[in-house]
Amino acid sequence: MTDIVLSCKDLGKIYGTKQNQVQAVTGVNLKLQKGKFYCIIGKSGSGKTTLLHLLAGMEKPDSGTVWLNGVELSQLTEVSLARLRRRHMGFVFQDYQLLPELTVEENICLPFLLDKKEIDFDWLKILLEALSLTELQNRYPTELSGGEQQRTAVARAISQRPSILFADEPTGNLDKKTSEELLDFLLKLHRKYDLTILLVTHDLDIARCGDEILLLEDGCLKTVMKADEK
Amino acid sequence: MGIIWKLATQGRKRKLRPLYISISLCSMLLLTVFLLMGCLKKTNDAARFQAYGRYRGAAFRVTDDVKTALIQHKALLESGEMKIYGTIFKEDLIAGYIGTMDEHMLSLGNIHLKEGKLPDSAEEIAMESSLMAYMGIPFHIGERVVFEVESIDSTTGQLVKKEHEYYLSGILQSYTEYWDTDGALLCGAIISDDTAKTEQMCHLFFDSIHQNEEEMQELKELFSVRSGVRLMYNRLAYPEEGGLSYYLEHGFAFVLTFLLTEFFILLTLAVVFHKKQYELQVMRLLGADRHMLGIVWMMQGILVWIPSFLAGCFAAMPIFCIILFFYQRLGYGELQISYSPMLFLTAGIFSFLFFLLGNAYPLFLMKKIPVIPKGKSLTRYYTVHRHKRLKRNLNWKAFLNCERALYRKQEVYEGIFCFLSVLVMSCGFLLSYEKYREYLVTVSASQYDYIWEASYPAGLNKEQIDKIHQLDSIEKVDIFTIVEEINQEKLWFTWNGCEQDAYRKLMADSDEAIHKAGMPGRLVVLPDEKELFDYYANNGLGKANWENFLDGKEGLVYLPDLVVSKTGTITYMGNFGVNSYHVMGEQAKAGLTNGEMIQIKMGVTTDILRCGSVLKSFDHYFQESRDFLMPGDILVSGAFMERFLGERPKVSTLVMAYGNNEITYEITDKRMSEINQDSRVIFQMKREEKEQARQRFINTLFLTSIFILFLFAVSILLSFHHWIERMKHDSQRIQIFQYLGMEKKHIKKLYLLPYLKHITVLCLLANLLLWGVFLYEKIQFVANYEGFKNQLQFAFRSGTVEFPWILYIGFQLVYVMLLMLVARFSFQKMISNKN
Repeated sequence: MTDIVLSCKDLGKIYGTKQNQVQAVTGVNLKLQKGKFYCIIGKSGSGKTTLLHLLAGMEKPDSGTVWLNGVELSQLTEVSLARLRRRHMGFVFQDYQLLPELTVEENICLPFLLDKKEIDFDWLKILLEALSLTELQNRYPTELSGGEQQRTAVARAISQRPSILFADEPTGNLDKKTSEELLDFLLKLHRKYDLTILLVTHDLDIARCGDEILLLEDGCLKTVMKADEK
Repeated sequence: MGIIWKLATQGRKRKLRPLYISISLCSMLLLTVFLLMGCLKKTNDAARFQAYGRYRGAAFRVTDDVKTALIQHKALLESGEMKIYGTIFKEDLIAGYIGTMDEHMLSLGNIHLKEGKLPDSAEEIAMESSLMAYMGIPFHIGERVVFEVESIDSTTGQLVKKEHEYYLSGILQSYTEYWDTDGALLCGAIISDDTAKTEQMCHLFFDSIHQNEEEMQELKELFSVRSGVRLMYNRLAYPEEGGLSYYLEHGFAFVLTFLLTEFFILLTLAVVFHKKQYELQVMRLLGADRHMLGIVWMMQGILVWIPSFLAGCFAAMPIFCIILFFYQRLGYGELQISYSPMLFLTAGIFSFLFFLLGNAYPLFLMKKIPVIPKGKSLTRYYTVHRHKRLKRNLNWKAFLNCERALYRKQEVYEGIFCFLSVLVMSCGFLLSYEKYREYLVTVSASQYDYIWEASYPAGLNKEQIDKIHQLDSIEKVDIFTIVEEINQEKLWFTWNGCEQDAYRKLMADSDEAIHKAGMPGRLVVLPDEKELFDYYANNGLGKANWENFLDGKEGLVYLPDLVVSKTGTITYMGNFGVNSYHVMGEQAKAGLTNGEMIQIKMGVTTDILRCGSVLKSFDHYFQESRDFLMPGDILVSGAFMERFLGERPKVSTLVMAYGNNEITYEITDKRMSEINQDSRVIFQMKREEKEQARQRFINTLFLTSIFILFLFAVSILLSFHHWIERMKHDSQRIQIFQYLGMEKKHIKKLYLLPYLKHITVLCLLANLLLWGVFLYEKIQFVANYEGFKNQLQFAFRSGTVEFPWILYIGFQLVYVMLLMLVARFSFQKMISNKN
């Protein structure tokens, strides 16, 4: 049990009014082990992003419970939840979500600032090297390519050494070659630092890179399979 | 043109929504104000017509040949006759005049019957209600009326006083007390032509083609050589003439409306331009030149303006009805409705002009639109930071600064709007307050409609004063005893070092040589009324004591600053704001200080008195007609006067008699003159002044309230709209921070709190500026006080002591709180979607 980083039970979320309700997520049960690479696949509108938001505590579920490192998210106050997100979760999005006013280095250091912590420059150096961003550290996001921006977003997401990295279609805006490069970086980090990753994608080829694939259909988790089973 | 039209007409719904709202609101405001001003003017004109009739001129005491010449004159459109046959007496005193009026006269003078009918037989009479009240005649039609009338006997041609008996056929609305006839007699009782006797005099009232007094000169010339005939222009019957002060006062509403409208439209256009910037950039990229963009922008604007203006006109109607409703409900009286297509047209023209003027700014910005879209603007911080950055310098503060820099421009817009809103609203409030003060001076503080001054130096004896007291119509009598000289011995006084005092020298040089060592003066005995003493004492800076004053130990000395012009004319700077301005020349200030001892001399008589306070000027606020003081006057109590003069006679008195309007002032005026035949009687009719002040106050207050409320609503709406837009714009950014684990309080600190601080500071700044100007203006009024400290003290006292702080701060607090609530609500709405 100690290896379980994130788990949820009977997780459900409904959107809309009574007449026009949409069951975005229904009865999802999950147990994510430490150091594993999970991929959620599903069609557009199947509830992948909603599930990710629920697991990350970004949205409140209508039913069910989420635990991160044994801590029940629904029991936490807003401040504790923000702290948990800051220290134990990392996020990567399709549209990078970098702050254009800050340089690559500053964007990566942002989680330290938000946590009012001293910046760990040694770790920062390692990260920049690992993601091939050393040469770009003083550039602004608008001066970077899509792949470079997404690598910056990955570096920012893991700068605090989170327990889990949530990636919501990180390759959605990238071409095939860049996508593969990014995936390589993610796998490298996953292996080297024993990083738990939960990646949402609709691309089966990308999903195959993970240790386990979770198939989501109409908000329901249909199958959990080993990547090599597919 | 086809593509331009297509571009102009398509996709102009959502992004142009603020413009629709803005133009509708502005058109609504413009039209409402125009309608309201039209109605106020019409009401005012109607009230003037009601009170003063519609005749343009009147010729008094006309002879037959003058009458014929006037009637036949081509400039005359209509004329009516008033003939006076006799004088009505009540207990040997003149009560009014009896005569006849023709139909034209009644129509021209707007003289109406309140009840009954005009007399059509020799036994009947119609009387003015005020005359009836004075005569004690019951207000019943058919009542038997008996009084003495002095008229010319047709046989002997002599004046004969005889008792006459009539039956009351009608009650006329009072008019004699309103009309300005410069002393010409008007008839308060009408009899039928059958009773016609030998007329004593005849007045001709007429309507003519002349538009003003100057034009009427040609009529005056007709009989200028004839004595006894006087011609007057009825200026009160016509719309107020537009002097500078009139336009400033009434123009305030327009100026404020125009400024507000233009600013609002300009701001909205800037917001819309900002929203459409990307779209314009894309058009530029697709090959549209700036000229084409300008045409599309203007066409879109005009297409928005047309329906918005119409919507504004529709919206103005219910708003106007609500205003009318409240106007009447609040007891301001009935408003005469005045509307014409011209008003709508004027509102349309102004609205369109402001719209065109407001477009200058976006059209100027359009010149800067690049061909290649630059993407998201990175703010000035970006460029500065880029070149001057230091390694590893990013910290929490720098990060916050970086974030704040993004909104600096928006904050400047918001700031300007908030600042101006508070400034305009507070300005309106202060203006209303000043109007209120003016209202108090002329209406509230002045309890009486009429004042008679039996003027100094002739004075009145005890018998005469007793007679004044006995007059029914006189409600209050103030008596001031004044001593300047007795048996050619003049009064003068000295204080320590007064021999060398430039002020004293100036005053003494202009007087007799006897005063070479002292200051010429007068002793003015105040009635033993503490209220009156306080009124004078409060206008000085010293600490005058009422008990000491009563005991004759202390006095108040009036020594206003003097200004000697280049021609040698001496002007004294008396009351606040009256003489302080416009007098150029060398100033002289008296050296006497508060608390100093003064020695008063008259011949061999001498006495010592402590100067409780030196009075420099008087605040009009408390004054009625008590501004008779001259430089060098010493206000003392009766006890001091007894001690000083002993057995000497006190002959000079200044008597002020006050009365109200229950009976006609004309009668009282006559009786006052009879009592006081040897002295000049100055009559002041306060009623008209009071009524005008009241009307001015109500109108200003009403208009200002509308402006304040409108600005209030617009400001809140705009702020709400702005916040919604801002939150939409920043939602992604806030989301990033939430993903990165930023706490809500920090997000609040970043987005909400600076705004709240910002508006609070700006609100304070606007107040500071406004109060600075306000106090400066007050200081100007008391510029004749010695030393800036004293001026400031007086200005502060005059401007702040009675100021309605609770109301003033209250409305500003409500405004700021609402802005804060709007911001908080929008912010909360935005971040409540996520945890």
